[in-house]
Amino acid sequence: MTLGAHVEWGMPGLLWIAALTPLLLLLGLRRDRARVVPTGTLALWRELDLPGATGGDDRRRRPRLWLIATTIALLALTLALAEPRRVDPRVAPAWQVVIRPDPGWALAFTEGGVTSGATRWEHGLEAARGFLERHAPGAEVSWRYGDRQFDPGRPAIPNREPTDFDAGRLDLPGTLLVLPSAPTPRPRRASWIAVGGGAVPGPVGPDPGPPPTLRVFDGSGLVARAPAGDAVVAEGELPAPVLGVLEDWAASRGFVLARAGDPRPDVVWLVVSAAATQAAAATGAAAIEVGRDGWSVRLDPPAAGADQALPDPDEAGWRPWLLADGHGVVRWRPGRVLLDARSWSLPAGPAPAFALSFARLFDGALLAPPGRAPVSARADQGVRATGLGELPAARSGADRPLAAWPAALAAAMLALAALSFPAGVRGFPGGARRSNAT
Amino acid sequence: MRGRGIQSGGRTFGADPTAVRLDSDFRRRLDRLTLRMDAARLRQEGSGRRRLDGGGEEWVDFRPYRVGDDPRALDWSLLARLDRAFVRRTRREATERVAIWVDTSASMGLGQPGKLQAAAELAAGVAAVALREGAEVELFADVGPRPIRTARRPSDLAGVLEELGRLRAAGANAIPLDALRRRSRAAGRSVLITDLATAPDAALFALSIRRELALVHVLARDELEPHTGLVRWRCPETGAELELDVDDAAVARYEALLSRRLEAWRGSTALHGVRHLVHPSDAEFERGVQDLLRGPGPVNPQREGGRG
Repeated sequence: MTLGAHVEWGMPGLLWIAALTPLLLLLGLRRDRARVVPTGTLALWRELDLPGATGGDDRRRRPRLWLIATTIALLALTLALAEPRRVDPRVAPAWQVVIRPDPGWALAFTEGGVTSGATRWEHGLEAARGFLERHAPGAEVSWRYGDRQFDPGRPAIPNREPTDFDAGRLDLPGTLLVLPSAPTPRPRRASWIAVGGGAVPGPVGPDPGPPPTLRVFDGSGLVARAPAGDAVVAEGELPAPVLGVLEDWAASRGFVLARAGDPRPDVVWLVVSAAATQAAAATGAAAIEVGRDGWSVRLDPPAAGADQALPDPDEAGWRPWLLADGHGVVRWRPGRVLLDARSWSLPAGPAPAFALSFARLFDGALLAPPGRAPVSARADQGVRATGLGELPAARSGADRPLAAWPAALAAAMLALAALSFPAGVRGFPGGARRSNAT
Repeated sequence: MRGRGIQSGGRTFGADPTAVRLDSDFRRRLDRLTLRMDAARLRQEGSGRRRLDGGGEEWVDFRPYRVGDDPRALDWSLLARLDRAFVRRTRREATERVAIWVDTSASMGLGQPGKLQAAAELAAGVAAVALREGAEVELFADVGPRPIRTARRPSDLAGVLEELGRLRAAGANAIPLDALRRRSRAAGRSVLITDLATAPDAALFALSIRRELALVHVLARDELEPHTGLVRWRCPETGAELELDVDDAAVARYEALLSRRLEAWRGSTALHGVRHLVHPSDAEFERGVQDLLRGPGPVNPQREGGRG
């Protein structure tokens, strides 16, 4: 809790003790009320010129020293017990917001079956900002996604790859954990926000094929779905034997084969391209023969117009599948297959061997469609919830305890009160009359 | 408030101190006092020990002049014949006049019982004894030139008591010295009952010339033995206040100052032949009347043993 600009209190609840001071004053003033005694010897009392003698009203308005000292001592003691700390005003209160990495952040936020149009990520950022406005206005805040800092001003999720997130290690004062769902067990010292959100049906991931199938979360469980309607794309002038196999393979797997010039399909599992590979440059005009799995083909030099073939991309990141002089005549990577654009002869060897060999290549190179998320992320995350933990602890180096000063003041005031307290016990009314009459 | 309070020894405690209450019990005590005083007077006269000094006009004998005697009492014939100074000794006349003045200022209306109550009881006692002796009693109780009651026979005592019962302590009355001097010119004795609030005045002692004057100071127990603690002293006449944290040392200083002040009164009154008496308001009035009319001189108030 912060009171004022530069002083914080470790135990602000104890400041309620200060409410006792008016009670003490009232009791003191009540005790201070004098008994009114009419007398015919007022002149004698005046003649005595006793110290502290005042007119009645004047004296009532002037509190006694011991009462003032005791009141100040109580106030000072209250301040000391409340553990005041002086905080360097240049160091703002430090909060850290840690968002747990989760593949479900990119999913749509739904509530009551209605999609808000925003993702869970956006809702999470909005909830965190609201929390900070309420509980840490003006605080210095650092944002982390897992163990990596990020700029919350950018709407994109900084890194969807899982990063380190140890909720136990992050259970610290001044820490706000942003989670998809309520944590179990609950943090003891850290604050937390569970963004929540309803279940989001959608793809979970491909089943190993063949045939390629897609596992889909339908809101309650997993179902397998054929990639019907999805596409594979043929780019460039594919060699005729390969193109034939590709057509047959796509039909058997339920894909639509899109060719150059066709509208780009929404979901593409595989792109097969023909390009002027470096293998062609290495072999020059000579024909070469390559093969595998019991089949072989002869590659003739490029025909006229071959310069229109796609340029060969850098080989880095590609896996060779069919080599000629150390260069990949056929190479692949997930979602892509690249062929040498020279003229391919009909394959020699057992006829099915060529088709089966390329079918396995295509199956292995399939790229699952985007939007996949595990079932745990797509499942219902519950309602939004918030837990308020401890506030930021004192920052070493910036804070300075101040309890010693009011404690010393309280001790001094108590000593002064003891010294100034009137000696002896005087009672009124009743029995305080001197009985020296003889 | 009158009539309320705790009855103790025939006195009313806790009643309104500004009022006077002379009830039937007091009258019985007054009767007993006058009978006792009358018997004592007869015994003194019978044995020839009756006091002859006084402000009367009846000549008895001569005695040698002493320092302090009134020069007007000198017998000039004897001085011429014998060349020695003698003063005439007189006795009070049977029809002498007694003037009693009761201070009714507001400062008399305090104490338990009130100082005015004690003053009225003393005045009643003096009046009763004087009427019993055949004297004429004039009762003064304010600054007016005339007495509020004149009594010539013992049967007039009831009227005096009734008048005393009407007294109230209020205002800031001063002793009407001029009126007293005029009215009591023929009086053999004058009794002034007041409190210490009235300062000594030379004119007061002029009253004592050629008459017997007694000054009674009535003080409340709070004035003789003040409380300790936080006290706001208030003067009932002026309303002035003084708040003090009174401790034992302050009380000791006050009592010392009060003693010095009373001692000054005693010395001053003795010098002028004025009888002086300090009477605590809670003391029995019989003792005060006896000391006033027959006693040897000033009375130490702390020997009175008040019942407060």
